[in-house]
Amino acid sequence: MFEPKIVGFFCNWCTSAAADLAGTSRIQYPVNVRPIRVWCSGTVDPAYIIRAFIEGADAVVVGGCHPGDCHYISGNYKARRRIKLLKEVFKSLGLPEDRVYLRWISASEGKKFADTMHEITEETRKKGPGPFAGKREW
Amino acid sequence: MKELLKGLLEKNIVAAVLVPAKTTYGKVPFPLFIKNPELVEDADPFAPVMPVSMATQVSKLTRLASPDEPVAVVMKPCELRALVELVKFRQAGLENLLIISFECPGVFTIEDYINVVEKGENPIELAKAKDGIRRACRGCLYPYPYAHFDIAYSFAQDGFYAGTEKGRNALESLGIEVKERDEEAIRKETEERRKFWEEVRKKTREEVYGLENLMSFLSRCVGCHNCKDLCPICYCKECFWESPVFDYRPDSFFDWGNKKGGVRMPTDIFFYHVGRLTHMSLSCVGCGLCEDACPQDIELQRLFLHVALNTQAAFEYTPGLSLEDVPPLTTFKEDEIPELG
Repeated sequence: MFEPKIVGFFCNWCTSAAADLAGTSRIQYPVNVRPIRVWCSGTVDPAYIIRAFIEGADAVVVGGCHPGDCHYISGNYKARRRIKLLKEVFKSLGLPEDRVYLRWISASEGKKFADTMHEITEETRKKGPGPFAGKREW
Repeated sequence: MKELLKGLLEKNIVAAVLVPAKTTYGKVPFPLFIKNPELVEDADPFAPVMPVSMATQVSKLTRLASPDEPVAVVMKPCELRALVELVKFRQAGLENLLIISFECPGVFTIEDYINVVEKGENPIELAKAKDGIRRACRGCLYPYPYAHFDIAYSFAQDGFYAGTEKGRNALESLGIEVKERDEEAIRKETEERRKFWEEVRKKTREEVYGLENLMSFLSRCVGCHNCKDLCPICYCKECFWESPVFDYRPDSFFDWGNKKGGVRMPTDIFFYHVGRLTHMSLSCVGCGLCEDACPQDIELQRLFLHVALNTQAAFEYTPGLSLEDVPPLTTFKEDEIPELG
């Protein structure tokens, strides 16, 4: 069976903590997700997301604090605009914008973290390999 | 126009002018910073060729400080729109500038311009007849100065009109007639060019849609990054695409080889172009210097502008029109983009 590779850029203050909480609460989530801890969802330049696809990711998820809860006041609002921009570029070029996810998951939402990762993994499993899987040119 | 520039200098309305002018060694006019009024003779303000963007030169002139004395700058409308973007990003200032623009017929590529000149033909008349000008210019969305100009020249009216009080005063103090702008003529001309662009865009949309198509469109790219170097919007001193992120150790190539079988070199062609679109497309004015700069003759302007118009529409932003319009990535609203949560 196709096992999707999913790269997650998770905010240090919320989604990364939620991943820890899922772990300490013994809530299982798919090993398909490769978490990368970042200081803020607002630090994720769309270029990193494109890079993840090139390196073989089948989906990318950015996890940030709920609107109004950003540790740095407004980073998540900026992240939201950047993701929107990237999705518009992808749409214009017929690239799979539906493989880019933005999710708000707070530090207390271990269950939501696990559920979200299940959901994204299942969706991606159905979609099949990402745009650059096996491609020798990028 | 030369009389205007000379008058501005002689009457000390400005202390210098920045204008395309004859160079000592070649046939293609380049921006010349002129102090001596006699050098205005060498000016070629309407030369239908654009080897570099005047916006970039104004940035070089004003980025570190505003000039102490007034400077008149002659700019094409697309250069002015790029300058407006650079001012928003604090890469240029408008203080102490007298901006002179004109209703632009379009420009030739450098090569075509030299050919026209060598054949002894009049490049401006050819450009006005749209004979041989660049595709980007044929489909220009704003072939006239939109805002933030002090004085503008119209070929159709063979005269000047003012965009600001400062411009009006300058014209009047030189005894130059101040005309009214012919909005109807501008509307007609713009409509024709936009129609041309829509045709180009329709074709482009299909040609670059989907990874396979996009990769074929870019397949000749050698990764020289000239398109970025000439882009008036790309101002970063340390470009992400020139950074050590792209200095790979040999293991990277072996990793890719193991994963993908082999690797096309140079790498990161798609990454560079699509990534750069996320960096600059919101401010892209469609000037076409990217395409002029491409040694492989990839028609980049229509790819970039097509995507740019989509991203700009998504944020209801049009670059280069008004300093009041805030670049979308420098701001946010708390309550927006519900589709992303």
